[in-house]
Amino acid sequence: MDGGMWSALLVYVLIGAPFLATLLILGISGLARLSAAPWVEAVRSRESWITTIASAISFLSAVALVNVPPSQPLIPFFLVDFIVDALSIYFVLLVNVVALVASFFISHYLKSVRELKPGERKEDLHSGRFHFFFNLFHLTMVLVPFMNNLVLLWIAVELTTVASAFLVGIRGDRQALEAAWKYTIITSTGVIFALLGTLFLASVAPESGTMQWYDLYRYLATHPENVNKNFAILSFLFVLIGYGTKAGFAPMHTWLPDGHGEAPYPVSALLSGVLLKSALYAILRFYILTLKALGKEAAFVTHILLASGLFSLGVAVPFILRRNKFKRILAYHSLEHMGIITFGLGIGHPIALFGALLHALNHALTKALMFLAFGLVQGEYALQVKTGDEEQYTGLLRVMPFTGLLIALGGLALVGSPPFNIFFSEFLILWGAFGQARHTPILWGAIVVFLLSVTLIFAGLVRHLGHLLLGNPPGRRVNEPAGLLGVLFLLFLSVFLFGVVVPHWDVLNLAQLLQDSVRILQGEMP
Amino acid sequence: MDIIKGLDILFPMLILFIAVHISASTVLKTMIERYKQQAFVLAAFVIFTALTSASWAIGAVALLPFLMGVSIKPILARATLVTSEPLELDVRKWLGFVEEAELTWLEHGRLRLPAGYSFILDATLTTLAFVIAYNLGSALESIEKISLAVSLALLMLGLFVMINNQDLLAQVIGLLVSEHGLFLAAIRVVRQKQLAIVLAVSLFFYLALTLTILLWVLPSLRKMSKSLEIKDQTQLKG
Repeated sequence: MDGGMWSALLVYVLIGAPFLATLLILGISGLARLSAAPWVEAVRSRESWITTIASAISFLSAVALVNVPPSQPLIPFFLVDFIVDALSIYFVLLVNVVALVASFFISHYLKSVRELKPGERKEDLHSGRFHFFFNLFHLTMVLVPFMNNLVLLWIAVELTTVASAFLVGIRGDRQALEAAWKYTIITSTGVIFALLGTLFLASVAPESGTMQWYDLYRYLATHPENVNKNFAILSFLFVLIGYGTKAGFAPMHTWLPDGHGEAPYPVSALLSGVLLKSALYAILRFYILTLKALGKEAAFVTHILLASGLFSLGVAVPFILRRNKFKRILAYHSLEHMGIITFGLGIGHPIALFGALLHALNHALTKALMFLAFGLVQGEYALQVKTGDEEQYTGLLRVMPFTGLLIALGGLALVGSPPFNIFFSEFLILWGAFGQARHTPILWGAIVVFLLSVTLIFAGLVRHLGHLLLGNPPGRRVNEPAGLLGVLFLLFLSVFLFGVVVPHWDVLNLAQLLQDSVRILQGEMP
Repeated sequence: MDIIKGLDILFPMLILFIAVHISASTVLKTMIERYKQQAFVLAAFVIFTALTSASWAIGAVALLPFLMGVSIKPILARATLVTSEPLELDVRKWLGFVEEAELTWLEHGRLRLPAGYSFILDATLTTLAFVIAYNLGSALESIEKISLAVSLALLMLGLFVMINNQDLLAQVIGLLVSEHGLFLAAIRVVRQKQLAIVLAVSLFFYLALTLTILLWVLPSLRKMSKSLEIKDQTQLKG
């Protein structure tokens, strides 16, 4: 088999694993309704295993795909083409790493939820339903980066809403349903704008007669005279608002704290770590096309991104400084970091672009660590201290010292302390900004706002962490599940590792993948 | 030819007029009725477009807004009522839901802003839509510009309905009005007819999914909060 066939096979396996897991869990749930035989129950109790194995297969396929990139960027699949270039592989890798890590925590979450207030729930959480939607959510997020057709890309992004909305509201209590309502209404309204932007793109180069990203890209590169620049601008603005709503950009971010705060904690890790990046990926595909369409007038796009990034960053500050539930604080950090990524993209300098893409991965890893570690605390407090009251989540370093330590270190990473990963990518973005500011003096002002915001945010999170880690503990020390701690520790190792080096090993050459992605962002043919 | 040109302008303007009426309504029942009318006018306009462009495929797409027009009342009625009955395809039962829900709809639909301010904002948004369409759509013919302007106006008015109304169901109607704008743009502004059909079908696929989620959440939310009003859904703050 040649390299092209290998990569095609890997793409099919990568998508097929969560797809089959979704079907399998649907089948098991159906079987469980028909029969209560012991073997059916035995299979049902392995749903988490099925999910984890599917996520692991998908993740390993993504890693392998980094090493066996296809010779052609398009891989046919029935009536559609998958686009498989460095940029899509990078985002698929990002989705899969968080999905794999989150999948380990599902059974812990379900167990703790059953323990907490069992009598108050009308119906217990249906494990099959949770696993089904989790795998479906994973599948839709893996599909997004591979969509070459821009209308199908839009459909894939919308499908992520469907799967995740059910997960956000799955607890079925008032808060969860309210969060699911807001999430669906706001993001559905947003994606209407995205489709309108897609539709306007069809009018940018009507003679091209295509909505395939790769064909449009080639057409715009070779026929600059046939481009309607007004429609290109309008298209990008609508796409930025539309997918930006889903990516959590201010002022369309209002679903973030509710959605992240009320979702089950493994889902919060996915929402914050990768769902926002899936929408960002869609923006990036349009960003590349718009740069090509606008040619010398492309500064408009970068300025818009720069302003949007700074605005999101600025809006996050007061919410992070305020006293609030910890998961909501983490959600506002997502707003901050999406702002930082957009700021990096807006600078447009290759180093800043590299930093922005790396920041997407770094944020995903760190935020997954924080949500999962805090979820472990919630779960163990529910199981052992018998409380779900967040006011009592204090003195963690004494009650759960290992998890507490990981939250402390993860928190420091999240606010950009050295030697962790987020510091490194923020440093790269700033390096790019300084390089670009020599040609664009207005950037100095932007850099000052950026530095001021991240400093205030640093102070805000340190305050919240102080309360969480050092306050008076509610009781004796509780047992920490060693297996899950091990997973968190590995996640923390990656947070630390990416702070000192961008892997360029034989088994995973992330540095090369990022450089290739930056070239695509700069308009080089994939 | 003049009649065709006249209808080309009349249909979008009628759709726009109904959207303004929806936005100004202070009773939920009226909003839903107007939405239904708008869906039928849109379906008629799509058929008219299919006839003038001799495209049967576009004519088939008219079925989508028509189906929405027919089914919107029973769907929203089922979502309004707090019932534990399983979903059944019994037409009489669904009509019964509508009768019962209409009493609730008559009591809801209040606006946040006074009617005068709302009207001024409606007019401003509509004007803005026309200004944008006429400035950006230089490559379009004048008839297409009108459709583009109306599409943008529907999008903005739909958003305004979502913000200016105090009810959860009004938010759904606002979303549906915006979706009509997008549908109109897909059919009238996109010149590649096959692409227009793909866009229109995608749109209804999206709508079906979104409505499924919202209608799954709404009855439970209403049951727990004992209200259909947005102001009572304030468990999550800050």
